[in-house]
Amino acid sequence: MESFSWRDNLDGESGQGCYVARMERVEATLLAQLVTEITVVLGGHSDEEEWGMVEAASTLSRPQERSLSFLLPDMSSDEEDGRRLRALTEEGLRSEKVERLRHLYSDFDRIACGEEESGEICLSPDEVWQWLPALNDLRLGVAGELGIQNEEDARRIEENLISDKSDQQVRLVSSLYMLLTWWQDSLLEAVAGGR
Amino acid sequence: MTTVLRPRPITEVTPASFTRWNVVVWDDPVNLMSYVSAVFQRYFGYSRSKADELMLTVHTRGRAIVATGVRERVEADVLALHGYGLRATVEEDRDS
Repeated sequence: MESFSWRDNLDGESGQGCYVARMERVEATLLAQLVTEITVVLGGHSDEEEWGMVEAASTLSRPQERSLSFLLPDMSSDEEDGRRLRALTEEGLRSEKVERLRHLYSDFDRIACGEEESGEICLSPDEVWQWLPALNDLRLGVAGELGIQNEEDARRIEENLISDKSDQQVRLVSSLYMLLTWWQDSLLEAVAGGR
Repeated sequence: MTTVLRPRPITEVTPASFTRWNVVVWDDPVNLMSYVSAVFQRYFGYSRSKADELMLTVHTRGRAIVATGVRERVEADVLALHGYGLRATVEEDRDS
């Protein structure tokens, strides 16, 4: 998986182009599966045929309340106010997030189902701001799965990868989290580069 | 709905009869600092230095007030920030 970089359009028109990253088909398959799982956590009623959901072993295994609390946090420290606001807003926020994840899914699926061993993600400046929050939601979902509650937990993730004691599932999810973090950071750097 | 750029004045004239409310953003162990700053620039239209300053306050103090206004506006802002994945809450301004 490549980091994101800006690429000008070939027609030579400066300022026109996209943020590009190449990824392997197997990576796209893995991330497409993860997007599906996070969508399910959000209660997205995906069309099973359209999404090609397979009831194979999933990446996420723990109870999903923690991921959900990261994805749909409280709007107020006051409990009553928080409940009122949640009742008004949660449905809309859920469907907004699910819709954005659909776009992410299509991009990954295109590469996963392609004939080539790898493919390119190519994001216009407008699309970037649909992608960034969606990528962030993936990270929030995985962080919930990993039980990241504080900075120390976040640092522990790296240790999971080197330690012999971590089981395979934890190692897979930890490496996925670190990959997504690095990848999102590269996109942010490319965007901050002034395009 | 919540991810459109909404440039806004940093201070709003509020009638004396309305209480001021705050948009509070809380530190969390997941969101990248670069992402938080980018969201502040994108959504509030803040300059990079202002956004970075607020982001650092969130990170070092655990929370920061990133905007103020009437209640409905602040609720809409918090919802928008949730759309981006930030932890934000509405808070009544004690000094108003």
